Amino acid sequence: MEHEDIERLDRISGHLHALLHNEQPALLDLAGHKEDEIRQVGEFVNALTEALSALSKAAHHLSIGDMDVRISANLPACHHLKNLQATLRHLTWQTGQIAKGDFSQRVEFLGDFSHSFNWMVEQLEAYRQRILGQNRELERLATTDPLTGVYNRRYLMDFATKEFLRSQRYSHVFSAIQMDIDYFKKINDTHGHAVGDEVIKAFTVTCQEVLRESDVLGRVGGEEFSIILPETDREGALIVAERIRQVIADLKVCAEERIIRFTVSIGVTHLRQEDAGLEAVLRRADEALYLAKNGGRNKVVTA
Amino acid sequence: MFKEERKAPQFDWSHLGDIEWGRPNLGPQTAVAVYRLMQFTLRDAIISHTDVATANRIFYDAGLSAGKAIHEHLLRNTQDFDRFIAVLQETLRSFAIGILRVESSDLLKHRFVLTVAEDLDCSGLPMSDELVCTFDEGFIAGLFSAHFGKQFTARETDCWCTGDRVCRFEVVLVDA
Repeated sequence: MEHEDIERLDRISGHLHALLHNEQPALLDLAGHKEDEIRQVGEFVNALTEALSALSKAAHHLSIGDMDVRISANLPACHHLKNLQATLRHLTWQTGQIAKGDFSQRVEFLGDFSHSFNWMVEQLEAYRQRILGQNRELERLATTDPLTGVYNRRYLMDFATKEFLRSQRYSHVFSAIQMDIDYFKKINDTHGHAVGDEVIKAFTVTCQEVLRESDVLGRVGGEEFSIILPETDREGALIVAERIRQVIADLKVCAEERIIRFTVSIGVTHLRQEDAGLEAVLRRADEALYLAKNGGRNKVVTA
Repeated sequence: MFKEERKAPQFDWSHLGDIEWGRPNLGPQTAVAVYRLMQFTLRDAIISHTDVATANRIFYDAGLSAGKAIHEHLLRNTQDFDRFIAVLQETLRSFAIGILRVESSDLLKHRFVLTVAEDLDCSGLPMSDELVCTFDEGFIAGLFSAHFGKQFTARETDCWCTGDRVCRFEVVLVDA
């Protein structure tokens, strides 16, 4: 081998040594080299240097989260980085989807990370479901009467207000019923509060059997109840009220080995054109109830 | 039905026939190589009879019909975009067409970037520095056009044949 060839090989060896030690040598200057095998090796080494540089640059950009870097497709090793780039881009989109509430997203191409990520999404969905369930329970507790499960005064008034406004806006009808269990204090004093509670519960269950799904029954006081009947005129409400009065009068409540019978007084009214607010409707229903009470109880009075 | 002269597409899903009835022993599946044999010999014949631009236009338009037909047949009830993508991913996987992933979606500007891995058309083909998934471009454009009820176009920007390991498509609204 000639001295000049040995020097060229030394330069190529030095270049490869620098590459292996993580340096970034300039490309070999092959100008003026004769066309032989050593020059070809030098050209390969230069191509390898450029490819490693591109690979290093791409890996660096991906490692700092720069997913828009243009990765050369000329080197097979870069193909894996391009695959990783596509995967990370999709993962970024998936994360955004999850943030928007799409918990159906799953990762299936990143080994252990996939398992952890998918587990995280499943946990988030489980937490969300739990919170939704708790919210529903809180909503139920805030709107219902704990003894009977029917709506409480607050919900009933909200519903009645909306129904009043809706009926006025669209010139629809609705009716309101006020009810009071007759001599309930006497039932409590004679048989005790536990029996009184059973009477209250039996009363609401029986009323609900008479009502339609669209009618809303609420407990507004100890033994006082209201019903809002959407899309129901005076005659319709009167039929419902009379039916309730009748079934309650026929009802026998078994509590603590005793049979309790009781009656209910009922006031009925409907929305009128001159009603300026919901209060006017409810006041009229109250007045009708008062008349029913004073008229001997176990009666339905309309106003 | 199949050989009538026409100036506009007439394809209908029923043209695929009752495969279960017609292939009781061989079933509905075939080899990827057979699909590609059809695709690339057809492309070869079209180019030799006409030119590359015409071949591309034919493959794109055929893909467009296919995308609209598959939407009509399998994705019609997916009004919500997220649901559309989820069902589309499942559909493409169940037909072994490819693994669809979304890289970006802008529902206001109607711009989307999708990738398809293990693509039926090209994954594993020799490197040629060409974007070859013209049928897929039309197919995706057809799916998006049918979903949004507006005309979309899809353009392949990366392909297995250009060295990528996934095919990447930019989908945009025409005249957005």
